[in-house]
Order: sequence, then structure tokens, then C-alpha cells
Amino acid sequence: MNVEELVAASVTEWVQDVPVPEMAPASIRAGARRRARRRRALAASALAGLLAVGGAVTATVHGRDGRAVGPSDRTSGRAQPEPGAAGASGALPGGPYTVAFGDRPVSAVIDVPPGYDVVDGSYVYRGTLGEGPSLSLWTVGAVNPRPCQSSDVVDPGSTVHDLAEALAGQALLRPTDPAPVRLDGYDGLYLEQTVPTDLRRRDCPARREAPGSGGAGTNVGPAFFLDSWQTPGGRPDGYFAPGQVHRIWILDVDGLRMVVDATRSGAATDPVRRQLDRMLASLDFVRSR
Amino acid sequence: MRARDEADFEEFVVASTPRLFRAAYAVCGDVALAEDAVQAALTSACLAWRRVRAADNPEAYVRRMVINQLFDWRRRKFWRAERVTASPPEQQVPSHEDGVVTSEVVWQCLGQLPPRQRAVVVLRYYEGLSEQEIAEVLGIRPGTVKSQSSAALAHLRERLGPRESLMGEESR
Repeated sequence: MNVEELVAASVTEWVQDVPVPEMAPASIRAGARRRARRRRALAASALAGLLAVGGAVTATVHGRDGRAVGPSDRTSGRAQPEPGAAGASGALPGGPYTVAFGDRPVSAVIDVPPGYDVVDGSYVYRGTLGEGPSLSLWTVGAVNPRPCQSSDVVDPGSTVHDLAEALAGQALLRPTDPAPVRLDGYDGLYLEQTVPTDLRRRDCPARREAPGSGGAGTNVGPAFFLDSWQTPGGRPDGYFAPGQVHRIWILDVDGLRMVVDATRSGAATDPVRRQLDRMLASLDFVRSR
Repeated sequence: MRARDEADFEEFVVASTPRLFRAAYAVCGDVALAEDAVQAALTSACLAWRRVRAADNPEAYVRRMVINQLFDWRRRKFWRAERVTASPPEQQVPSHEDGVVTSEVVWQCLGQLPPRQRAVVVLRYYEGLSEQEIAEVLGIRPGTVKSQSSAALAHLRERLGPRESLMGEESR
């Protein structure tokens, strides 16, 4: 018997002798209800925090102790992510975080791996802001039909299908056809957008440069804004970088249209892709009231 | 959770708990930690039961959750801590001259491996997962799985010696 067979036989024999503890389904369900209540309480505290500062932004992220970990200055209408703060604020400890959508009665809980950071409340990312992997959650109120070429936005309509069609019409971003999907038990539509690898800044007259991006004419380096969509409050989406892949779920969460955007570079490694997939798998929408 | 979902979940818990617990115990070697991880994973599964049930293999899905729980930040201190045992491994691992290896000895040798090496070995040879599947469960590269497995087997060969025979019950 070789060592591999020895391990298999020994472990099998050894674990068979260990009494299996009883796991009462009712007890587990009760534990789940308690956990859900804790999450709702966290979401409620997040909402209270937002209201206390004027509700100027769409979402915030709270840690396990209910402490806000997003940027604290939320009162001035400053809605742009702040690249200068990326990395400087330090990575979050891994663990579950609650994302609340302003006054919406739904929040989301995500298990964030160690090493990620958060900006603007609902944008969880790692590495260079706009270029590293990220998971962001949105409520979308307007769509730019011609990102890069124009900053004009239109009302995409109110349904999941309306928004999916609007995003699928953004030809520059090479969208896939929307396909039915289910995430966390909620139905919706899924599509992907890929930023062309040969997209040059000078090809985008309507871009907005991210601070410290290297300036116009640079063909590589940090991402820039394409203003693909906006929240109902007018906050534009995050960054787009050449080669970037945006996986987009548009979901009907108990009557509310939610957008989940998992973004990675085209050259993302397998562990990075798996981290994003694990965050997505952990995503849990919770009714907050 | 609706009544039908509750019934499905209950059936799942009853049927899969023994296998999930044994897998967890084999990976960590600690009854309390294994129980804790299984309980936490089942609680998460309950919260996301529609998603779990829709998976190709719900038990494999939850087993992955169990393993993730074992390596979760809340339990990392367990892996770093010294564990008190009634019989230190040094006294139990026989010299090569003994000529036989019991399952208890193998178990103790597994306990001397670093946590991820032990997990790789158990998932590969007890659970029968492929290197790719192990990589996905542990969130590491397939190449790392291979190197961790090689290192673990080398350690076991060194500790167990050339006479890798299992004597079974009579040697206990």
C-alpha cells in the first residue's frame, strides 16, 4: 500500500469512529433567522447613518460592528470615487459587509476577502482603483447610449429588460446579448461588456480623466470615466479601462431593480477571478425593513 | 423559507451532515471546530437555500462552504494555536523498525502537516477531489495544490518510513 492509499484508508477508518454531532434543521433555521436579523440591524444602522448626514449618496458599507468604513464626507454632494484615497485608506479586514442603497428597503451582504478596500460605499475593489478587480452595486436611473462619445444620458425605462436592452445597446463596450440569470435566488438578466483593448483616450472626447491618470493622450495607465450609467441621484458609474471586462447582473429584487457589476481586467489571474466569484456567491440581498 | 423549501432543507441536513462533518473533521482534526464549521456553513446554506438547491451538486457546494468556514478569518487562530493532546505525536509515531503503520499513526502524522497541506491531502485522497477542484475549494492555484500535495506526501513518507502497510484493528 503506497502512502496515498494509506492516507485514504486511514482517514476513512479514523473518521468513521468519530460520533457525528446532531445538527437539528430547526436549530439551523433559527440560527439563520438570527443572522438575518443581525444583517437587517446592520443595514438599518447604515441607513440611519446615511440619513444623519443628509443622504447625499446612494450607498454605504458597514463593517461587522456597524462602523462605517466608507468615506466619511458624504454631505457635499461629492459623488465621485476618489482615486487619491485608493490604497491610502488601507485594506479592509476580510469579512461580511453590508451595502445599503440609500433609502431603498434592500441591502446586500458580501463576504469581502482580506486585501480589498471600499470607496464611495458600494464599490469594493483591490489594487489600483478602476483597474483592479471590483464588485460594485448600483441602482441605475440613466444610461449613456454613446459612452466615450457623449455625456448625454437617457431614461432607460423602469424594468430589468429595459435596462438590459439599454446597456446592450452601448456598442462601444461590445456587449453580449442579455440572457436570463438568477443570483441569490433573484431572477434577472445578465450581460457582459468588454472595453476594447485598443481604446485610446483621444478616441473618447467625452471622457473624464481620473485624478492622477496621466492626462489626455496617454494610451496606458489608470482608467478613465466613460459615464456608462448614472444612479437616480446622478452619480456616474466607476472607471473603465481598456481590456476591462464588466459582468453585469440586472436583478429584480422584490420589485427593486438592482445592478451588480463584477469587473476585472482582461488579464486577471485565476485567483482574482475566483475571489470575485466567491464574493458574488456570497452576495445576499436582505430586506432592510 | 417556504414549507417546501424547509422540507427540502431538512432532508438535505439529515442526509449530508455526516459526510460534511467527517470531511471537516478529516481536514482540521478537531471535533469542535468541524462541528462549528458545519453548523456555520449550513446556516449560510439555509439563508441562500434557493441558490444552494439550484447548484449542480448541492452537497459539494455546501462542502466548499464548510472548508471555507474552516479557513475563515474567525477560525484562523485555531490553526496557529498549540493544541493540547493526551498523547503527543512524538510518542506515538513508531520508528521505522516497527514495520507497521496504524491508522492512528497516519492520523497523527497528518496532524503535523501545515493546515493547507493537510487539507490538500485529505481532499485529494479521502474526498477524491481533482487538483482543479481542490484549487477551487481552497482558492489557490492548481500548481500550488500539486506542490502542497508533494510536500505533504514527502513529509508523510519520511515520517511513516518505507513499510507503508496498514495493520488495521489488530494493531490498535
